[in-house]
Amino acid sequence: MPEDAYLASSLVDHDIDVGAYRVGMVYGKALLAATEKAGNTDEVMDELDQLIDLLVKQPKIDEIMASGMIAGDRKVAMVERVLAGRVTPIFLNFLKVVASHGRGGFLRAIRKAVRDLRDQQRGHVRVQVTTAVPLDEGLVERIRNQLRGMLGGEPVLAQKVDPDLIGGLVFRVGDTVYDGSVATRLAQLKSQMIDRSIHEIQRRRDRLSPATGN
Amino acid sequence: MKFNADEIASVLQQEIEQYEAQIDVREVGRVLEVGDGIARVYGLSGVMAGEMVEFPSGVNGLAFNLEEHSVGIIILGDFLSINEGDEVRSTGRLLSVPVGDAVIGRVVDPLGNPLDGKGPIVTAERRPVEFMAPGIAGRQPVREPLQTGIKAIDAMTPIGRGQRELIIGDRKTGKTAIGIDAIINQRQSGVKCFYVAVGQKESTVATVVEALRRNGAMDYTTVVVAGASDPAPLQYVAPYAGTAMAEFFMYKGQHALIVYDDLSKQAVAYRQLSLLMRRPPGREAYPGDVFYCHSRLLERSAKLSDALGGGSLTSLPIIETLEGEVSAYIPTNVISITDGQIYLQPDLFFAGQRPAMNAGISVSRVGGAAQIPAMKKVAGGLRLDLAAFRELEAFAQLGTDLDAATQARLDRGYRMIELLKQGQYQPMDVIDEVLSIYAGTRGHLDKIPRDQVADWERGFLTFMHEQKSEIREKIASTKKLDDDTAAALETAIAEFQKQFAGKKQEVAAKA
Repeated sequence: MPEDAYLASSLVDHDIDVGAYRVGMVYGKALLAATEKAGNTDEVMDELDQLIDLLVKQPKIDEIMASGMIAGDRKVAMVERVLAGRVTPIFLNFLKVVASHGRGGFLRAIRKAVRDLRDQQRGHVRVQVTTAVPLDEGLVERIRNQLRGMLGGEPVLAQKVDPDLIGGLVFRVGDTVYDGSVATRLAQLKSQMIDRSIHEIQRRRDRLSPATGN
Repeated sequence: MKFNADEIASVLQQEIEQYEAQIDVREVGRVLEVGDGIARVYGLSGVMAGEMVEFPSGVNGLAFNLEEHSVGIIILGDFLSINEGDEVRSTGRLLSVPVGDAVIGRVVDPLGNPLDGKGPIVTAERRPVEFMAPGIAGRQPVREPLQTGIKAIDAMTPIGRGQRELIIGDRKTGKTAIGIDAIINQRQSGVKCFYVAVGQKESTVATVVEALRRNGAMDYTTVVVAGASDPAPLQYVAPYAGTAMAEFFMYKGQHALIVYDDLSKQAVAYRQLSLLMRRPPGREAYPGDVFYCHSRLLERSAKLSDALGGGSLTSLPIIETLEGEVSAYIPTNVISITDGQIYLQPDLFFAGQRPAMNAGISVSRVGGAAQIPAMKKVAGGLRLDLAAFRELEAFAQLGTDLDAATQARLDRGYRMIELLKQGQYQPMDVIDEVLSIYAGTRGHLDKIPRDQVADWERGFLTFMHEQKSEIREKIASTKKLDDDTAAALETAIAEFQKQFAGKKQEVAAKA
């Protein structure tokens, strides 16, 4: 799985923009509920992904949607003109609602919220795997099988390569990091050695000069 | 000093061989914003209130605010080394400090890191900084005295072991001096002392440490410093850290004394943190739980029951008032928490009465039970007499003619005021205090000119030491002043009066 393009492109990192995410959650829940009723959730999700890709390529459209200088009804008219007939009616309506409420700048956050909600529904767990060298297919499959048993859900892997790890693997599931990398082990070994050595040195010093104490 | 390099190398080698790699499991979050000693962190969904977290630069923090979508962290250290987006990891531990004999004689910061350049503090013993105070069953009433070595305090507002006695006054009225003298006076008593400097100038702290060292008090004292330039979180934590170190001795059945200098600055640091964390401000912009901040700290001072070893922790919190305003928020809070207060006033201080204690409004609610019987006997009505004298003195200033009885009471009062003056770093033995106050309250000083009272006292105490040591020993061993001893003391004073008068005449004749 490649690096997430929309996250990399966005000006604000929605991953940690708490306020935007909360807004996105509200719209995301509404969108999901509407598509479930109509029974075309997957189709609409694809459209949302495509729209975000489009925004990445056409930053000007992004700016117009997010801008507070352009009236809501003009944005709605623009959405109508550009997308009518090209997308499902639900998605078109959704975009109109978003535009008329002045939430055009929150499309990325909405997508993230929708994705998280879908993950929850389908029992998917997103796992970030960081390694020193790129993983081959066989290894990815083994990791996936291993994680499936551990997490009690279908793991969705996002791979990242960081040569600083030297070796080993680092998994991140939600807020928990399972770190089996060589770099971390070396750091632990180092601090342990320093602690022990200080203790050793101090003990000998105390033995040599008991009168002075500390 | 020479180390055997091979030996160390072999220790290290063993270390590597025995090192068992375990997968490091940690909970992480990301820094959303950082500034002025606090950070807001996204993630860390399982962190507990008060849990320690670690930043990539090695600085520690404390989970302070748990909110729906973020965690407020107070940063215990250099917050400039933390950047937005940094990974924060929880440690699953509570903040703790090293305790025990290893910290005695040291100057440390609130995290227990040495500041005195005397090498690392090596001890396996640590205690959590926040600790529940002992409950009702774990305590007993205060019964042993804690001698401060200051006549005015030991006589009028006696302090018992396990008591909390507030020292309150404006700036420059000698609040710190009382705490330092009390520490210096513990040299013989075996009480471990802790001086917690919060928000003080580093130069002032250096002076205090130097004074303690010069008077031999650093052998049994620990100084915990969070100076004025340290970030607010450290100033907020310092009193709790000092208490944790002192508590260690209390729970071991020993006695400890802790001076918090001063809690008003801690309250200010806490207010800063709370406002930055957007906790709602209350009176004087302090947060609603500033009372709890001090009450949970001072409740940890206690006299433990015999079942728990009978140890004690006495505390002398210091509060600085503005223009004598004791009805401000923090002073009223701390007055209501403590078992009495020593009230210092600038006008008394500048009138030369040092310690500048106002006897009328200073009280000790429990210490009377802990006074030695001899002191109780000689100093019984002293506090009320002095308060009455102050009133009378104001009246006498009107210049009216006074009858002989009133004049006599005034004379007595002036002599007592003179007698209760005491220099800094000169704590007195409690027996000497009894002797001096006996002479004063029984009227033996009434004929001595006011400017000679100090001379008389010095001479008298030397005389008692050198020539009448049996009386001193009697009082010291029985702690009582029975009728026989009192009679012997009367004759001794009469004898000294003659010597003193003779000496004065000699001096006068020479002149």
